[in-house]
Amino acid sequence: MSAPQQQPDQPQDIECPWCDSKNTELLSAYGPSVAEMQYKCLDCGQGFGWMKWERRLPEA
Amino acid sequence: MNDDTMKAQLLCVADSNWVLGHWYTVCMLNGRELTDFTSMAGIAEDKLGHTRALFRFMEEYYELPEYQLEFGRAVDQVHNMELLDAPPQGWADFILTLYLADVAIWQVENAVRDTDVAPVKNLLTKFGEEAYFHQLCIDGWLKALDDAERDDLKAALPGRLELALQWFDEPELKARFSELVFNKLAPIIDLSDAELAALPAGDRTSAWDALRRRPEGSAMPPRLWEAVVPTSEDALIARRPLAVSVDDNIDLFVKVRKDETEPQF
Repeated sequence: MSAPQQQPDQPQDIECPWCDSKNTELLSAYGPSVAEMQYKCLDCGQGFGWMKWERRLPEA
Repeated sequence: MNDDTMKAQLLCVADSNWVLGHWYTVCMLNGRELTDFTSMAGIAEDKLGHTRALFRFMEEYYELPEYQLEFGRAVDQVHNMELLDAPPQGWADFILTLYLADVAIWQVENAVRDTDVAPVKNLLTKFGEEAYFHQLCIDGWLKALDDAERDDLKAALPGRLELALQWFDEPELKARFSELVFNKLAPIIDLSDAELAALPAGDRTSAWDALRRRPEGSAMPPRLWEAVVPTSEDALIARRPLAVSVDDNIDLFVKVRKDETEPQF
């Protein structure tokens, strides 16, 4: 099985929410919901979900 | 913003998201392809999650009994937007209503984010990040409408827009909402200037319940309420038991409990 593809809007340096390391890798383009990607931290070994388009808000 | 104002605002967005989440759950199998189903299921989960996150926050912050907001209120105590009362009349009306509701709710959530209450600010910001994704999905459904569906959307717009505009108390939010909606929809349904000018302004014509942001004494129809809080015998028998009573008859804004208004002998 090939590795998940980098998404166009996806930042390069995804921080681990547990240890703040940026040494992380994409595990899956989808998580528990389609809005999430699944990552693994290569330093602390924890998995975490990253919200696609994180920190962007709708127009107001 | 005082606590009662914030409570009413939070109930308006929590209850509107509550009903909006059920619009998705009831209609999601009307999609056409896998991405419709997964997106609608994901959005429904998020909207219902926003509602429950606000309910849990409000129970703690306002010292309300657990689960009362979800299971202990009568339908006429729910602060859901009137826009979502009438069921969708077709796919285009469905997508249009999802769009208007999502954008309207975010306008108010974004305004309420300007508070010193950190959990409210943080919760609503997180909701916004998820709503950004929801609106991307809706953009896709709007772009994928065919000619006949675009005609249907154009026909449905005046009625739905009127109810969406009536929801706003704040003139600046209402004006910004109109601007966002027209910028989005005008190119899709080819609205002329004359047609734009003829769209309703959202003036309120009946007595208004300012706390619930809907006509005084009105409530969602029984069929919709049954989808939101199932009370049929078949549904109730399967309800996971709650650890607390939900028959405490809470009154969220009037400090006199209803049973104390009865004559005392």
